[in-house]
Amino acid sequence: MVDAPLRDALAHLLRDEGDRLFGLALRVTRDPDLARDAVQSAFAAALASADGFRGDAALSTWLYRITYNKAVDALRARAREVPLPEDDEPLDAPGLAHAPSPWADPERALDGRRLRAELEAALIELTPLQRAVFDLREVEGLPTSEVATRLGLGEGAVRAQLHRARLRLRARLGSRSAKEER
Amino acid sequence: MNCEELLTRLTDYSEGAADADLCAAIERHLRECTNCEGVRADLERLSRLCRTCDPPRLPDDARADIERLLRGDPR
Repeated sequence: MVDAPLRDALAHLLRDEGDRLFGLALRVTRDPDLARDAVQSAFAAALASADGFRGDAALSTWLYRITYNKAVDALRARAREVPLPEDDEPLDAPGLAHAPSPWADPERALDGRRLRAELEAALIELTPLQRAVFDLREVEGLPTSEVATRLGLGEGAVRAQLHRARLRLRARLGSRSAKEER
Repeated sequence: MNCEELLTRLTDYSEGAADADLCAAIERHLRECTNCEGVRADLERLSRLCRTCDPPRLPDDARADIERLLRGDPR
């Protein structure tokens, strides 16, 4: 039997954080159906694990973590993506930095809608973890410490994954720009 | 500091995780190296671009399903 305070706390979280949880799951899976399943599964798991929650903050943190895990599980289950680069793959920072700037073309630089669409497409380059870190830090604007808490990582690991994500996305966007100019 | 070192530490710098000596070394390099300064500026632009993305919304029917789950209603 699940206690009423937990149900109430989860209902509040659904109202306040539901869109953000979905955003995280969507960024990781890049599939709206998988993302909604991940969020639903996360709430079901929270409801089934009534022990150990003391207050909304802990519950919120746990929900983010389980949503991320459910999203990754869903990705693996469906196996839709070609093998992704590993999270700990060596970073060729100088090589990535050689890509042309995505903002080199003034006309393109001013087209925010186009750049956002290209950014979404470029996210396929990242690992699921990098997408999650990137979403929480860059899109949601959470501080590094909060991203670390929500994903169960150390702050150094968050910065490392964020850096990889940023350099890869810049390189991908820049390469795309260079191809179009040819 | 050379370009390779700088390019591996840029996010530590922008996230405020670099100590004073490292910050000074990074800033000195950035003043002297237009390529690295260009990358730094691009990463800043990338962050700004992300802030303008429309946040996705949990679909209403998914929200309703979860509300039912939380109320303990049968489907």
